[in-house]
Amino acid sequence: MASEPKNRPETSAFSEMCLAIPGKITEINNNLACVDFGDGTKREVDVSLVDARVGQYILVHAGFAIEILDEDTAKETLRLWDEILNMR
Amino acid sequence: MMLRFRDKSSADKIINRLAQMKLDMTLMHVCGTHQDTIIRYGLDNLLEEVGIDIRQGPGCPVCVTTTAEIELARTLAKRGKIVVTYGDMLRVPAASGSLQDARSEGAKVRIVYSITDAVKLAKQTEDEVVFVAIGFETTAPSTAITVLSNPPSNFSVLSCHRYLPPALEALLSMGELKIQGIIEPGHVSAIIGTKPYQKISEKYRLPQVVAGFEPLDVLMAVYMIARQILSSKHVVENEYRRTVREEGNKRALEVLSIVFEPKESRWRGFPTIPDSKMQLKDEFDSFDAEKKHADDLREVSEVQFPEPEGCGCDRVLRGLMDPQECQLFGKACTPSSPIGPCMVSMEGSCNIEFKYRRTNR
Ligand code: SF4
Repeated sequence: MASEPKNRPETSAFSEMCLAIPGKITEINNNLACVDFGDGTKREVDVSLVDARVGQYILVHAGFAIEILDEDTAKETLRLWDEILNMR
Repeated sequence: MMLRFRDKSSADKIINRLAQMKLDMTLMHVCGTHQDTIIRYGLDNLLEEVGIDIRQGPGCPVCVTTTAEIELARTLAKRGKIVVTYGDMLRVPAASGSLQDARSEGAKVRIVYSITDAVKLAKQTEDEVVFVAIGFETTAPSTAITVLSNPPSNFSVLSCHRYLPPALEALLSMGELKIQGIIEPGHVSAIIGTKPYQKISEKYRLPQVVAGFEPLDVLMAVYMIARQILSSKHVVENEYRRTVREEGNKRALEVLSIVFEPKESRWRGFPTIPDSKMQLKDEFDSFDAEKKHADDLREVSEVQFPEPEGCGCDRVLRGLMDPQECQLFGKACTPSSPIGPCMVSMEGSCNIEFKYRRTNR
């Protein structure tokens, strides 16, 4: 097989593995989704561990979607916090 | 919307609330991404001012991987296998050098972003490809599903995957550090759900809150723990409901239980922890690198390797020491010449501390 390219950047591999940022699914073919993380970062992600649909946000870890982010619950959480924090 | 999870005025409000509670408590979390959020936004200093000490425990998969496990991977690399792993593993010093050192001596060591890339590599070669699988319940399902999807016969897995809850139990039963609550990692919890933490809360009368990774998530989790303490409660709460369901990710849990079974294992900084490592079940022997390449590994499999001299990673991983308390921090030990794994991994306390506050305080 081909010899390994020298000076290839390697440090980013694991840092991306634990990205806490959810990405948005723009396309799904079989188990592979195209996911947009904003700022132009797009990645192919295996979605076989979740029931994902185009348009949903997913949490991605080492190339696999591990869970779907529920937007309604996120909004509800923010609303609850406002309530708690503005309580006297 | 996600930016609202970083809202400064809400953060100030939480801190004010915590100040009014007049607390004096120590909390632990077990996640490199939480540590990154805490140090990046200086939450540790904000919380210290209101009587809360927050520290990272054994929540860095690369850091808790033992020297012996890295020596297994190095041995396979030196015996001509193509060893493939995540970037963070490459530079962790073992007893006789790192995987990177093995590579500069001519061994074939490759870095991938995902196990899928390792399988692709195996399909392009006749050589044996060994994937060094690191990570807690978050990463292990990707390994499990790969093993179940008929990878090529020259592909195998050196499983260093671990279950997180047994380490929490081990840490608490050691009793070295008195903690009043635990912030549980959102990503592990997305897979395992909130139930596995319940018996810990009951047994140790300890509040636990599963939290997301934005600064407000962490502060809110602290506030939820504080509220429990003031009302003498000790239950598992879920701050990260937008992602973590009570029952976890059922499909991921299912593939984990099909492929792996728990086995006792050492963790760096810990004695042997029962049922803490994910071992491939017998029916997947042909993909288990330790069994498949047992002949190559015989000479190293029983050896006790010394830990790096002067490195305090063991105490850092048990939450007993801050990175800056290590004599070597920022001097002999830096990310470009690391002595212990906590300085190599992006999830390690020493690396994170160096990244945001490289000078000694
Ligand atoms: S600073 Fe370096 S030597 Fe000290 S505990 Fe951290 S990794 Fe080990």
